Amino acid sequence: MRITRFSAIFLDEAMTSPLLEIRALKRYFPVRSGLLHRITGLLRAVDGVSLEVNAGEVIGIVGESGCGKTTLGKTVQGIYRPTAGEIFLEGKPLSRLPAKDLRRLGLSLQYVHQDPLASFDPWWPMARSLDEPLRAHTDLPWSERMERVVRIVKAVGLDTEHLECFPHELSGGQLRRLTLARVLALNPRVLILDEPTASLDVSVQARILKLLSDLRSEFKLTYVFISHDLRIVRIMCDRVAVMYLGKVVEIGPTEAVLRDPRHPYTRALLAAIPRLSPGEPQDENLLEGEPPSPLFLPQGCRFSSRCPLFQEGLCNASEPALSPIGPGHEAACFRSAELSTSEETVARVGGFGLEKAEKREGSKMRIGESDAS
Amino acid sequence: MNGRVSALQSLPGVGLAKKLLNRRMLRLFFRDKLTGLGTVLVLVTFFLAVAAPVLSPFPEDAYENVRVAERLQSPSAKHWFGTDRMGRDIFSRVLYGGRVTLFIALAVTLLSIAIGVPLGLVAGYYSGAIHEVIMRVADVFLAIPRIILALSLAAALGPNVPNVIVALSVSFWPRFTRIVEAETQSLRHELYIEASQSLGVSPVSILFRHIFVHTLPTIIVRGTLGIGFTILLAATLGFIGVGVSPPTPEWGLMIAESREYLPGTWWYALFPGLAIFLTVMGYILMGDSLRDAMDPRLRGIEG
Repeated sequence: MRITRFSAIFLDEAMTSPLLEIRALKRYFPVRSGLLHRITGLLRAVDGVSLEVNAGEVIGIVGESGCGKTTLGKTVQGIYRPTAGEIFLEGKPLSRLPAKDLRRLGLSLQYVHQDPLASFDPWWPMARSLDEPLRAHTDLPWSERMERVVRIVKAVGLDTEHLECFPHELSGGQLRRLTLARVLALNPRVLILDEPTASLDVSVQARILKLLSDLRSEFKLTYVFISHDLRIVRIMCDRVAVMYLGKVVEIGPTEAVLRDPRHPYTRALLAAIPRLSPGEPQDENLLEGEPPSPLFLPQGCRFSSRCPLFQEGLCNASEPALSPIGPGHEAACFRSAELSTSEETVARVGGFGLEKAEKREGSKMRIGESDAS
Repeated sequence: MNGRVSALQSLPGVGLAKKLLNRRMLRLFFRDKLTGLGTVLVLVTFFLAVAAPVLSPFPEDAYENVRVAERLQSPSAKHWFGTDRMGRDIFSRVLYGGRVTLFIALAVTLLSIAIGVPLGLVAGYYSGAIHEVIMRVADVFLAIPRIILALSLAAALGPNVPNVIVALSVSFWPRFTRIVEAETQSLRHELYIEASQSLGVSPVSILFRHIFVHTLPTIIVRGTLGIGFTILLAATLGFIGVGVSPPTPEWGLMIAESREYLPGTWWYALFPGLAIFLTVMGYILMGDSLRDAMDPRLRGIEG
């Protein structure tokens, strides 16, 4: 798996344009208040994100809650209209396409909601919900559509009996599988998965992750994998982008970013991973407090208000842009050079629970095996 | 309709019917005696109205007929509810009056639903100009008390059944627009609506297959209560003299005719009045208990 992953990246970079390209994407929400509902502020949920997603890869988007991951996903899919910026799919700009082409092309980009229970009509049996996209986009008669629904439901590891259930009669894992089945009916190329393992217990999480990698090879999918769990991102993703307050602060191959984080925020996220061994002390470099409100961003670097490396006159003067550090690895920090992997960091990263992840790396198959049982 | 999955389950409306008619709701619906009374009244009045030609002893008395010898007789074995100033059998006229009144009330309610609900769905789903235009027009109608609007319209149009239906519908549709708009507004932000949108399902399909179905319980409750109030209003118009015109056996009209013979001929006003009272009460009791049974906020409260 490792080999195919990297070959996919290098081949695509060398040969073709990315499958999905996001350029300086912004999504602001107006904040209205007072009697006249006048716009009194702008919530900068996504504030200039550029991202290239290559065919076949899995790119992780990580960050705290409220950092704009979900808004990014929904804007890219088209649920929200972008405030500024462009989205290219297969090299074609989505915002400038005629409606008919947009409808067709837009369908190959699908978003899977975070909350599977709320994303099904509570009064519809599953068969009807899964049939909905087929009914909307094909002229097939009902019986043929049902055959396709049954095929897809089997592909996500469920049975026809689940099709007669109402959403509240199913478990979180089953619903998660059904959300995937519903979008797969449209033969998408890119799936934006919003916290696909949220609120599932660990064994179910493992099975869903296994399913996701199986589906990826079966349906030749590309994933944008939104998550806050770095351990899952490490297992699943080829590349990872770290978001803070609507911006990407660090991006690169998963290994490079997690082993050699060059943005203090990435380091803080790694430090926040809970450790399993009870003897190990929790890292004391945990971030304090909440991120600042995206309504009132700090001056200069948006991480400056919580940054342990904050330097007066540098960090609050201007906002750092993403600058290259290693192959494909970029970080937006003026002092990223000082964060380079010293002996000390290696030791600390080891302490961040990554050694355990390392072992898990070799045990990817074990997840698969446990699923079979 | 043959597939590997139970065809019945996927038919539109079956899910809804299952939901509406699940045992829990039926239990909630029939949990007190008043509900039973309301339902019985509604069913009985409906049956009597439909079967009026069979049940009434003097069907020819329903409209124009004069029997001078028998005028203003008190209730007897021959004339159960007595006779009126033309000597017509009041029992027969009350039965036929039920046909007229129920026809008006049902027609008004259905017409108002047919106009008000689609407008409410559209106004609630779209924001901007469409929403503003529909809702401001509805507000104008809602600002005028229903009785005054209906009265002036009926007076202007002239007294016959179609005009009464028009007058009452014009004053009734905005109420459906209002409630459906409010429900649509809250439903359209549900995640499953967003999911359907992102799957490329058309707005028309989303509005009717998802949102409309979810507003149905509210519409049914409002409609049932509305039938009751419309009967009352139709009788009021008849009583004032701007409703249906004289030979028609309409309850409000009959009470109006009886006024000059009161209090001596008590039966003349009493029986049409009782008919109005029982029918209206039936629909309102039934509407109230439908609301209790279907309102999700009241679910889980067991009596």
